[in-house]
Order: sequence, then C-alpha cells, then structure tokens
Amino acid sequence: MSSAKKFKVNGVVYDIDVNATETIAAAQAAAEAANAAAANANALQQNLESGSVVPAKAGNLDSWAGKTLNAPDVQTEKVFTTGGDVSIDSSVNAQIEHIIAKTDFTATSLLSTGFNLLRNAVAVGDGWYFPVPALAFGAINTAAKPNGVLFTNSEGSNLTPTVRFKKLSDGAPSSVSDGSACAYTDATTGGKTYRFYTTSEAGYIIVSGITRASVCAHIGWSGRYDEYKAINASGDAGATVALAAAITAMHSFGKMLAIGNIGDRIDRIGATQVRLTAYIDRVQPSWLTTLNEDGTTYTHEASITAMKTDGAAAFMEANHVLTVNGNTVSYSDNSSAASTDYVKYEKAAPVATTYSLATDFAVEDWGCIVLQGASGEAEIAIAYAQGMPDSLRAIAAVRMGAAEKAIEDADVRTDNLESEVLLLAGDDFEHKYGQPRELYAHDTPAESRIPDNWVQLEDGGYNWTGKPSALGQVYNNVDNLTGAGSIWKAYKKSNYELDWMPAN
Amino acid sequence: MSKIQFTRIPNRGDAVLGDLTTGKVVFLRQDSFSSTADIDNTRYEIIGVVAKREGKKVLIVYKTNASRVWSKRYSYKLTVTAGATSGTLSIRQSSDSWAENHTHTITWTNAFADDAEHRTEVVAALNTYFAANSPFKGTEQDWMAEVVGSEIHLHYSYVDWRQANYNTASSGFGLTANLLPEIPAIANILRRHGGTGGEGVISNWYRALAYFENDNSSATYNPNSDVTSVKRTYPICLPGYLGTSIYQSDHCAALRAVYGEGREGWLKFMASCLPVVPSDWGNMGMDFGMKWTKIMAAKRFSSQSMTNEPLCPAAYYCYNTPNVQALPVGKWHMPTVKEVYDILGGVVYGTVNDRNADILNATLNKLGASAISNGTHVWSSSRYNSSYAWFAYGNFGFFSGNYMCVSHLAVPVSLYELA
Repeated sequence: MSSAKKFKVNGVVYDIDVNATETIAAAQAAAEAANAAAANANALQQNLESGSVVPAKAGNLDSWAGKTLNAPDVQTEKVFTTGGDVSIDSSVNAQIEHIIAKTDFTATSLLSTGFNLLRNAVAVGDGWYFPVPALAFGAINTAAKPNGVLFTNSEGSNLTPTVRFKKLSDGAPSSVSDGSACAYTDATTGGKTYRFYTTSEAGYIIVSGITRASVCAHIGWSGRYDEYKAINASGDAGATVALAAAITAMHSFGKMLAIGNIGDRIDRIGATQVRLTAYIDRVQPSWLTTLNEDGTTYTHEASITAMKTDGAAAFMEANHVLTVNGNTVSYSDNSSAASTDYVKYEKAAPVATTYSLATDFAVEDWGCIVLQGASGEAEIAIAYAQGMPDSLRAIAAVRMGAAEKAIEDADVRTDNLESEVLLLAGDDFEHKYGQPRELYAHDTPAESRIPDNWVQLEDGGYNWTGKPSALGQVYNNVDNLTGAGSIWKAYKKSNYELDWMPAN
Repeated sequence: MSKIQFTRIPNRGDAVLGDLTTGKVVFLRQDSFSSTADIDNTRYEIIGVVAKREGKKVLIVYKTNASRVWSKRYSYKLTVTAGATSGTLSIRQSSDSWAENHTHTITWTNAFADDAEHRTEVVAALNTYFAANSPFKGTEQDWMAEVVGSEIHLHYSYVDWRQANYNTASSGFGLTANLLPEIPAIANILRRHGGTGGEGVISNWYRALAYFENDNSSATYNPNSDVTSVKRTYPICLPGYLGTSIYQSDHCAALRAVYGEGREGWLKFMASCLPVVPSDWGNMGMDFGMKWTKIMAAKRFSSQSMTNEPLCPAAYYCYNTPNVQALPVGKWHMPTVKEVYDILGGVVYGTVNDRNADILNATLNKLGASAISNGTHVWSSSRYNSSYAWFAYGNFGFFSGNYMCVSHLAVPVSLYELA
C-alpha cells in the first residue's frame, strides 16, 4: 500500500496520503483528509446553491440494531422516507456499535442516499429554501428517477406546507412569497398518501408554515428500479459493488445501504420511525490506491477483510476492526449529475484487507450499514451512533462504581486486619494486663523485690506491689528454681486481692 | 448519602446498628458516615456506639441514657431482743431537715421469742405503728415491716443520705443494713502507683486534670502533712504538689523526687492515680454487670399503699429500656466500675464544650443519641458498701461512692461477643 493517491467523489478530486495498513497515523491522516473533504464539501455546498448539485446532508438514526427486516417488505411499492429531528450533539462522532447477519449472504454493493433538505436550508423571512434538481414525478416502482420532494413529520406522515419554486436562473429567493407555487402530485404508497413537489428544472424550493425542527424534506424515491439505478446505471439486479468500497465511500448525505447480489435495496432505514437532521460526513476512503487519469475509474484494494463464509460481517470488539471479504472495486458513476445522488463502485477481484471501524467508519453524528442477504431475506446490520457516548459513560460509571466498591471492600479488609494486629499488640502469650505472665525474680515475692522483667510505672507499666497482677501469673525465683518455695502461682485470695501460692 | 463502611472488628467510636433483615448487630465505621441521613433506616436500626473492644468482647453503649436513683428504698434486718415486748427506732425525718434523730417506741403483747408467731406479731405491731405515725406513714417515709423467712426486714423510702447514716434502734430492737446483700460490696481499685483502696482513682483524665489543676483547700486533695508514699488514695492538686498552695505548706517534696518538678512531674503523678485496667480482682476485675443488673432489675417492693414498684430504677432502666431488635431486652445491663471507666475514660466532652470533642460523643452526636459528658455523675452497678454504690464523680474526675438514694446517669451497656 502506498501513499499520495488521488480519488474523485462527487466530481471532486482529492489528494490523499493513503496507507492501507491502517496505522493510527494513517487513521489520523484519514481524519485530516476527511476534514479536508468536509471543507471541500462545504465548498461544494456553496456550489450547490448555484444549482450545480443537490446539497448533500443527512442526519441521525435511532437504533435499529438487532432488528430484522424482511426483503418482501422492501420490495413492495412503498416510498420510504427519511426525515425527522433528533437532538444529537453534532460534534459527537458516530461509531459502529455492532453488525449482525446470519443468512447466507454476500454483500456486493452499498448505496448511500437520503437526506433532509431542510437541514441546511437557508432562512428567508419566516420560511426556508433549498436548491433542488429537476424533479419529475413518475409512476411508483417504475420511474428511474426521483419523484419530487415530499415533506413529512417525525412520524413519517405527509405534510403539506406552503411550497413555492424559484428557478436557479432567477437567483436565490428573497422571501417566502418569491417564485411561484410549486407543482405537486399526490400519490399513495404503502397505504399513505404523500404530496410530491416537482420542478421543471433545477431551482429552489421555498417552504413556509412549518416548524423546521420537526419537519423533513426529502427526495421521494419511487421504487426498486430507482434504487437500482442509483446503484447500477444499467438497472440490473446483481450489480456488484464492493461492500467496503461503498461503506467508505459513504455518500455525504443520507444513509448507506448494501445491495446483495440478487436482492433489492432495503430501504426501511430512514423510514417512519427514523428522523434525520444532523450531518453525516464522508470518511476518506483510505484504501483507494489508484486513480486513472481520466477521473472516471477508481481502483482500490478493499479495506474490509475476512467476511465470514456465511456472509456475516464480523465486528471484532477487541480491536475495533471490521473484517469483510473485500473486493477491488471500480468506480463507475458519481453524483456529479444533478438528477442523481449516489456514489458507486463496482466489485473487481476480491482482496482482503483490514481496517479500523473506529476510524475508517467514523461518521459525524450517526451512521448505518444495512446488509442484505443473497436470498432476499435480509438480516440487517446497523452502524449506529446515537447515545453511544452516554452508553459508554454509563458503562464507565458502572465500572467505576465497581472499582470503588472493591476499594471499599479492600479498606474494610485492611481495617479488620489492622484490628486483628492490634488485638495481638495487647495481651499475648507472654503478657497479660501489660505484665509478664512469667515473672523472673529473686528470692520470695515481696514488694521490695521487683522482678527483673516486671514493667514499672516509669517504664510504661505500673508499680510492683509484691502481689500478682493477674491470675495465671507465675513467679520464678531464678536463683533457686528447684528448691521449695522457688516457684509461685497467682490465686484469687478474695475479691480484694490476688496472692501467691507456692507451686513447689 | 455518603458511602458507609461496616467493619467486622469495631473500635471505640464506631456506630452500632441492627440489621433489620438479618436481626444481627453490625458495626459502622465512625469515619464513614456523618449523620443518620447516611444510614438507610429501612434496613438498619440505630443501637449505639462502641466504647471499647477487648478481643472479641465489644462494650456497646446504648443510644440513650437517663438520670435515675440507684435504690428507692433503704433496708434493714431487724433483730428483736428475746423476751422484749417493745423496741425503739431512732430515725431522721425531713421535718427538721434531717437534723436530729427522733425516737419511737413500738410495743406488742407477747414477750418475743424468735419464732414465726412472734415475728409475725412484731411485724404487725410495727406496720400498725408505721401506718399511724409520722414520719413512718405511707405519705412520708413509707416504712414497711415484713417477715422474710426467719428474719424481720424493714424498708422505707430512701430520699436522704442521713437516713442511712443516722437511723438506729435500741431497747429491744437492733438494726443491720440489708440493702441488696446479693450484690457484693467491694471498694478496692489498684492504682498504677501500686496503691489500692476505695474512692479517688481517676475515672476521667481530662476532668481530673481540669479540677486538680487549681488550688484546693481540702487536705484530702492538698496534704497538710508530708507525703511519704507514692500510694496516694486521692489525686493532689497542682499547687499542693508543687508546694505553692496558698492553703498548705510544701508537703510533696518526696513525690516530686519521684515524678519530677513542675507541671510535667505533676502530670506523671496524676497518671499514677489512674487505675490498673483490666484486672482480675477488685472493682476493675468484677465483670458481673449483667448478673447484678438482672438481680436489681427484678427487685420490687411493696409500699403501704400496696403499690409494687421496681426497687432499683437505674438498673431497671438499663435492663429494660433498650428497644432494638438486634439486642433486645435481656442483653443490656448497668455498667460495672470497669465498664464505666471504659466508657468515660477517654471522654473529652464536658471539659471541652463540643459534642465532637471525643470520638465516642462525636458518634453519639451523629446518631442523634444522648451525650455522655465527663462532668456527669455516672452510676455503676457495683456496690461500694452498705449504703453506697460506685459512681464516676463528674466534679472531680475520679471514682467515688455515693448514697444510693441519689440520682445519677444510668447508661445501658451491652457486652457483645464477636463471632
């Protein structure tokens, strides 16, 4: 793997120092490159306002981790929408939480799409406007193009605000009454009726009478062929685009989808329950290694390795590495045309590489990955960000609590041990009440003859009285241990005193 | 709520709680909580504080205490002279502020012989007289005579020390003090200087220093003759020790030769007046607090008005008052002299007006429990002699005996054995 490569996304060529070994330095470089890409994206957005490209913004997802989507559902002629608001700190990076898949599955392509056009709309008066390409409504499930802009609330239900249209050539809107009333077509899909606002050419949609934070405006894709169109210009099922490529080449707006080799796009992500408002920014595809000079073909060695034989992507928690069977892919189309919003890569020869989920898949605020099985009954895998920092904090708090508890327990044990030691520091086998159990003295017991090992007052004990200090005490006349009266034992003479009794 | 910490082996000042779920005693480290707000009162009941641990034995002080008299009655054994048909009681009474003895002669019909019939006759005559005459009446000293086995006992309402000191009998009667003979009267505590004897051994270091720091006119605490032995019954005030007292000339040169000059020498001397604790003999070796308390708490007496009351309110209080599940009634007693010392010895509160001045009171304070001041008179369960019981003398900081009719602090304690 080498460095100083070029690649092109959305018609913009980037100079990237790529190192596919995925060192931290490489990740940092990728992050820097991503920042550069973001800057370029901002520049691109400026351009978009001139009408050249649809602004590419998308938002956050609630967690769908672990949920299963059925392919038959998504093959029906429904228009699934993206939309809605959630409150996520835009500075929080998304990370992939986990990926699951259990069907016989080989992911062959990915698509990112979907966006909330209101997210970066320009305020004008008490409304907003945003640029759009030409939007013509077509029959659902047949038209190979977007079907106009629709507005939904946070539940995905249709909204009909005041919508006007102003051509690009007439300049940016200056009020909510600028332009003319926008054309639309009402159509029913999935049991719901939506209003699709259409335009004859690129221009600005001006919307008013809404609370922007709770409304999503987005392109209505009308069916499987549209989506295939987005993936494969030929519209053929089974178009092959490397999973890794598409993941990393995640579109600068909207969600990302994996297209199986026989399956349809799964478009449930971003549907009614999901609300999108915040940005998602593309991460630099660090695995891109070559770029042909005509700017139309990218060749890379895919970063994702070790796709499991059953098709599941594996998430290695220990090192945050996703390994998938990767493929060399070729760039075949891009989003430079105003009527499309996608980036596509096609699969070439499989290769195996590893790259880091923590860095290479990082997206701002949120992200998702949808994998579709070859059988059409897809298992879904989610890359998800929302709430992750809080979750991590919660985990950290729990672990911190456990650590503190362990410390407390250790303190108690230490305290107890110290107490045990203190117990031994008083009476012991040799002493009772601070005096020796065995006294060594001279002659018979008498107050005038202090035993050699008695601890007197001035030495921290108490004065010898000639009498025992405790029951059990023995007085030894060390000068005559064998003679009568040489050993004495303490006994309780009365409640008032102890005294010595000859022991031999 | 802070993080409280329990300990298996408690030390002085640790709080004692009852675990309501297990019914067991637990010990809370005194430095791990700041108030009862830190203690889950649905899980734990507050019992008291640890005064001392010796090996596995933990002396627990209950959370409340109260002032009670040691005994409400004074009692005699009455002897009657054979053949007598009358006897004389000479007693003090409140009408003259207990100043003089007043003589009363009680008569009966049959010449006394030491048998049940005659004892009954004498008792009847006495009770008739008591009921009719002041100050024996039930509304006054409430004297009662009873036949107990082969003896005649007299008892009366004990309210003034002069009753015990000066009441006598004559002319057919003889009186022998007979108050709680089951409780041995012992007055002997070994000091560290080797001396023994009754009152005067220091019960609280801080209080003793505070009191004896000052000059004192009493020859008991300020010798009026040369001291020749280190075995002093009572402490000596600092000016007396130094020979600078305004009340006495210097009589303590011999002591200073042993302990040193100046305040430092005096402090060493004062330390020699501390008790030797523990011990296997004397008051510091008596560990029968529970036994004695049980006896006293069970004692009741009848009055002329036929009431039936506890005889020993202090013991009764200590035995019956604690109301905690983990250490129920039957586990508590009135402390022995040694236990009073174990409780009071390290108390600073009193000479320092701060509930947190010492670790025992600080914990009692945090628990919202009764304080124990080193200036308080605290009863022990130990008898001193026929009329006295041992108590910690809060004025002086030493142990002393006092008349049992006096109210002092009754402090319930429990000796808990660690597993």
